[in-house]
Amino acid sequence: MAKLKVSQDNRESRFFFVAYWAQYIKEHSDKEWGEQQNVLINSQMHNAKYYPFSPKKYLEMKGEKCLR
Amino acid sequence: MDMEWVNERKIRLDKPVNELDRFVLRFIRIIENYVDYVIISGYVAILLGRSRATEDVDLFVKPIEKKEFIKLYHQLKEAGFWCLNADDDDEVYSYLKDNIAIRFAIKGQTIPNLELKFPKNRLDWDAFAELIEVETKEGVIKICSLEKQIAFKMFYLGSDKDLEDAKHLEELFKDRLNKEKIKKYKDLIRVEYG
Repeated sequence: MAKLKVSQDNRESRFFFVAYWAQYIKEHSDKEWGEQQNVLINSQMHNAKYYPFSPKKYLEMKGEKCLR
Repeated sequence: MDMEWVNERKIRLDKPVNELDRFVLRFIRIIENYVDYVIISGYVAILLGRSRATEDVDLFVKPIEKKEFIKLYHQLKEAGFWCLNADDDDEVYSYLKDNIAIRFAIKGQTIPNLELKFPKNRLDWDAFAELIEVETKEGVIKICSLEKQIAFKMFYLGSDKDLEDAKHLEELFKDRLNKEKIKKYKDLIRVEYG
């Protein structure tokens, strides 16, 4: 697998990583890449339980109306 | 990669299902008893491997009569969801009828949430015509076509996050994507949104 390219530019580095990760998926089993992806996603799902905002506050931040 | 195209409209995924996928599956198992849906936006790229999380999952549902919607809404509440925008049946439905999205989350939480809306224009309706079924280990999730997803991310939404989602799908499916279709959507987006 090709090495991950790096750049001084953060935006460019992020795009390099997206391409690298897509290649990783192609070259590894769903189980392998899925387990790695799930570490990130499951931790966000866990932390979401402690997100402190009410529906009203959350929708206010989004610029949306809340009738609750 | 085990990800397999069963046919033009179906992908089979062998990845271990994560908690976000379960959240989506739990919601759509209920709504699909009442109405057709299609998932759009960032979750499509995430379901197909993109290494990021999200706070919301967007989906279109076909317009539904009020009586039927209220049955659906009550079933969602019984299953542990709440609507962030309102609680009252009439108020929740009035959002949708006025073409305003409503958000559902697990009761007591605000994120992640599912943002549900009726299709407004031809492009929105197209999402149903060209949807793809993604078969996971715990159920099927219907997503919009990859070409439409890429075109919207690149030529309409356009944030870095959207461009990265588009790049992920382009890199992953470069041998399968129909470039003409992406261009068609690009032109339609210009006509519809200027």
